[in-house]
Amino acid sequence: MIEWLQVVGVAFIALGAFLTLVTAIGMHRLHSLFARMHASTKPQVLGVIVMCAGLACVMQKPRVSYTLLLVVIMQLVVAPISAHMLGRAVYRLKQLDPDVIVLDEYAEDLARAERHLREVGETEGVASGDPLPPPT
Amino acid sequence: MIYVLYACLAAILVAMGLVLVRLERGPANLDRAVALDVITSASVGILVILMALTGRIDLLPLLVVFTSVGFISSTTIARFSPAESITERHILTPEEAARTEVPEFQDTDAPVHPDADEIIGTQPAGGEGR
Repeated sequence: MIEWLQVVGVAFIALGAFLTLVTAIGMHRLHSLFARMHASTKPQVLGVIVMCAGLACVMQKPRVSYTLLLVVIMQLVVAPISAHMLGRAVYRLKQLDPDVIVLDEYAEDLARAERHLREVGETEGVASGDPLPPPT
Repeated sequence: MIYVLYACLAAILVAMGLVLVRLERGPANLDRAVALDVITSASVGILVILMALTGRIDLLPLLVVFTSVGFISSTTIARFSPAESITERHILTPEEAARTEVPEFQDTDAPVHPDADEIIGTQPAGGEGR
């Protein structure tokens, strides 16, 4: 057991706990849902990475380190899925204050798709597989 | 060092309490889904601290399961949540209730069976065969 590595590991774990606390304060105080999602990403990605690195430093066993690497990879795969689904649902259900958004590219995209469907879709069918026209 | 770990545990517990407040208060269901995500990752943090405190390796599979399955709840909520109106989101304060004005149910249509009262009145009490 290397002593100073354990100290480094505990420092990492403390950083992760601090990130979680910051997130909770953000969740408590921020006003809109997208702002809260921005806050909630911290412990999900950076917090888990930092805490797993800290735990690997504390335990100092190869078996544990490999499993923690698996945990980090799993979290990196999984966190964008839920964030994407949540953001999409918020937008589509129109539960969003329009003043919050500064740049709304998704609405432009949707309008472009609607226009394309009006021009092409009625004669050739929606599922014709034509590529959308380039953005103007 | 152990005291630092205990302080971390206390910090994460405080964080979970704050997130629970948001979970209770959050105006829409999607806010609650976001809070649920944060609670899952906070419990991952608690597991990590427990492992560092006690040196238990047998909690590792739990860690893997938490990170790989924890997203399902919020994803399911996001996928299947219906469009909810403002009156259904939470318990309304009196000002909000006055502002939104839920329309009262009014039965102005003509009755389908005008003689329903007489039919019900002539039936024997308790029905038949019972």
